Amino acid sequence: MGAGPLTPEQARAAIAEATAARAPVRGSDRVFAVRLLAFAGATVGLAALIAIFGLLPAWMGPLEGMLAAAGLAGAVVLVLMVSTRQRAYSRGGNRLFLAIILVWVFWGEAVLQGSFRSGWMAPSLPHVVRGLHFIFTACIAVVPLLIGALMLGRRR
Amino acid sequence: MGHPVRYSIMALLAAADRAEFGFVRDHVEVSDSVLSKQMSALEDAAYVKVHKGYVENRPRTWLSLTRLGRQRFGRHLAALREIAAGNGAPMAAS
Repeated sequence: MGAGPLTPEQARAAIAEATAARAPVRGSDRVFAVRLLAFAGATVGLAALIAIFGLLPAWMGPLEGMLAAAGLAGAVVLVLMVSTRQRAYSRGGNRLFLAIILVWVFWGEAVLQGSFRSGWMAPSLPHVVRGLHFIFTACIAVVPLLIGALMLGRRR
Repeated sequence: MGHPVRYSIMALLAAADRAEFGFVRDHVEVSDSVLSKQMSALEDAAYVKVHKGYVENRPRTWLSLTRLGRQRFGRHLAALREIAAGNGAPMAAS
């Protein structure tokens, strides 16, 4: 653009540029979605590990337990590596990510409390049933993370 | 903001809480030196903050708009909208 007063066309072009500039920043929010999915995977994975290794020791020996733990640790490292690749943080994405984590913390606690109080995870249940119920509870607890990942992954 | 590159930088940073130097360079499509020069001008005007840090032992520079920068860019956009609508006062080309 040259010097002198702006024409309406030039002004519209500048506004369009500012609008278009949001797209790459919002696109980087997809890394937030990956993080949330990793949190969800790690939560369910850990629940499965506890259910199988802690409650059903006959199903899993120390070696299998260590391998499973190493797999989870690998997932965490992967998430950290992905996180370092985030090159921009949108204002909305940042807030949404934090809000989802907050909702997840409260929702997870409510689901866990509800599971115990309703007898869904009663100590009197057989080990196998209790383990399966624990994994199912973990799956319900991560629902906000999955919804959040969908919301952040779709941001354009 | 009276420069196309500075306007592009401000537009990109207005959408972000913070963005990496390389991200801004790639999307504004300028060289490191051009971006550095324009960033210095924006930093001197207190429109942009530069944060330096390390990720995996590599230096990384993050850029973000200051409150003043955000205000000024918002006003600038409002003025552009007035002109685009055909009822704004003339404004120097950016």
